[in-house]
Amino acid sequence: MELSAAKSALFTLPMLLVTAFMLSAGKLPSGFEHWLSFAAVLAFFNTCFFMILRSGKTDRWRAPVFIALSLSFVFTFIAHMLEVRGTMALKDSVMLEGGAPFCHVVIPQTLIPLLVSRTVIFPGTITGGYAAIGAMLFLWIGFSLALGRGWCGWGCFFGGLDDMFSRLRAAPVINRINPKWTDISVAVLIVTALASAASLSPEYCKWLCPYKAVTEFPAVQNLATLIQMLIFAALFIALVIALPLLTKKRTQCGLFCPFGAFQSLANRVNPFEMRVDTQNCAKCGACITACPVFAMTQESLAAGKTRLNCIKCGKCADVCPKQAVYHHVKMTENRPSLAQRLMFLFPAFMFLTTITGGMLLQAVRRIVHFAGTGSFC
Amino acid sequence: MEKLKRFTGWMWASACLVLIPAMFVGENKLVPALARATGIHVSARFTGGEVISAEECPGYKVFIHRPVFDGLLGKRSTGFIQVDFVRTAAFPPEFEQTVSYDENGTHSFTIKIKTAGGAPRAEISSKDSKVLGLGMLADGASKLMLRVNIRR
Ligand code: SF4
Ligand code: SF4
Repeated sequence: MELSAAKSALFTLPMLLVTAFMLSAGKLPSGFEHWLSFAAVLAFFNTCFFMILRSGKTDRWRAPVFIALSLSFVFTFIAHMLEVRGTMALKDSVMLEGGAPFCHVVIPQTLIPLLVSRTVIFPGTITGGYAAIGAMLFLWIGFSLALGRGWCGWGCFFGGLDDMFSRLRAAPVINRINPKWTDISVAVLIVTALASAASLSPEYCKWLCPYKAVTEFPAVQNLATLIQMLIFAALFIALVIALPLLTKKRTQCGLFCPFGAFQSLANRVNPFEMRVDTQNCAKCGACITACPVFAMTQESLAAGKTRLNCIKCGKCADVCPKQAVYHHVKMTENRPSLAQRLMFLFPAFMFLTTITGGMLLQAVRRIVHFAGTGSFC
Repeated sequence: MEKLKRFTGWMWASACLVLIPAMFVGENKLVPALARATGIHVSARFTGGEVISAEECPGYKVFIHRPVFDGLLGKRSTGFIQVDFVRTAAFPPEFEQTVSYDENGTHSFTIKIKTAGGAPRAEISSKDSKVLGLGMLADGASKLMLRVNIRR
């Protein structure tokens, strides 16, 4: 659904105002470094949004911002840890003082104790501090109601990593992966949620999270912590780098992440979905091949829908030669329309840029500072 | 009926459009209020549980937490007691603290801490068979935190 340059500019205008307000926090930037980073990030966001509208390609212009989110998150997180703690290792003392940053992937592991006794089994703080539990839970509930598993395409600060690696090769080396393998993530979800409830400790974070390799990990003090470190590194290399390169799929997100599996349920409670116009569909299967998380299959295509694990990235719509795949607002007319597309794009892109904004600004500012002074701080 | 359904769909989508910016704007005020209203809190297995007694010593203060046996649905057979030694000046090179953790003082242990020459070390001694030994010793920026494993 391409738009004219004038219409695209018109619809980009509200996004420009929102992102300018959000990036500046209502105050004009002061100093050269602040101005430069502000202008660069603002231009980047709004060029991408303009191009989504102008080209009609959602995923192609979503991906740069989503990948920037993950890269700037990892960069600023590591910088913060090195400044505050002097190390990426999570020491026992930090955990006992509630200093571990909370992330959304912990949420399904904490749910059973939270519902049973209102306790959160995580060494963080409910409010205040860096990445507090309350703020993350709040944003997650709001996002889930609005955009469901769109989180994994428009909000997750880890997802851009396997997304990035899945795009680096022109063609996949491994072509056929049975969508049934996505059940692994459901199994990981069930096992880690039950194990965490039994031990009252987030077991996926302790043993299986590949992203620990690029954020924080337990200080190696004994055999157990050494094994944990090796598992994190092996899973990161396999699921976030190697398999996405070989398959052109987001294998960590599609096959393993328990939060992703859990978040699929949120697709039931929000108004947006992808639909296929089966009359217009050429049955070429391009959307099935392109889908990074195995959410489009022959069966779902025939039914004119996606599977429940769709992350609403829009890649299937981008590649469809017949423009038969479209963003749909549930309960409204079953045909592609600009209104339905805009209704989804505005909140999704607004969330993505709001989450990305602060971290990307900080990353750009540090890089500009480094170019001028040779130091990141 | 069809019209009403469509109208509901559009209203639902519009609500989401408002929800996303409202969430970011309201976050700072709403999160503390919601946390208070729902009563969610971090598990005592991480915080160490409520402090039940405090004592001032030269160079440091001692905070003794309640015994933590918290399980998902009830109490567990084993747990721990956390004791924090908060620096007020420099720690003495060696010091001791006796902790009684029941009302009549039958269950107790003594912690001996050495801070001289490298990382702090702790030894636990007790005649009580319910005291299982040192679970964890963590050296924070302003305090030493120590967990002693115990049985109910
Ligand atoms: S599947 Fe997991 S890692 Fe991937 S985008 Fe979703 S939450 Fe993030
Ligand atoms: S079905 Fe389409 S929108 Fe959904 S995850 Fe797959 S490519 Fe993305």
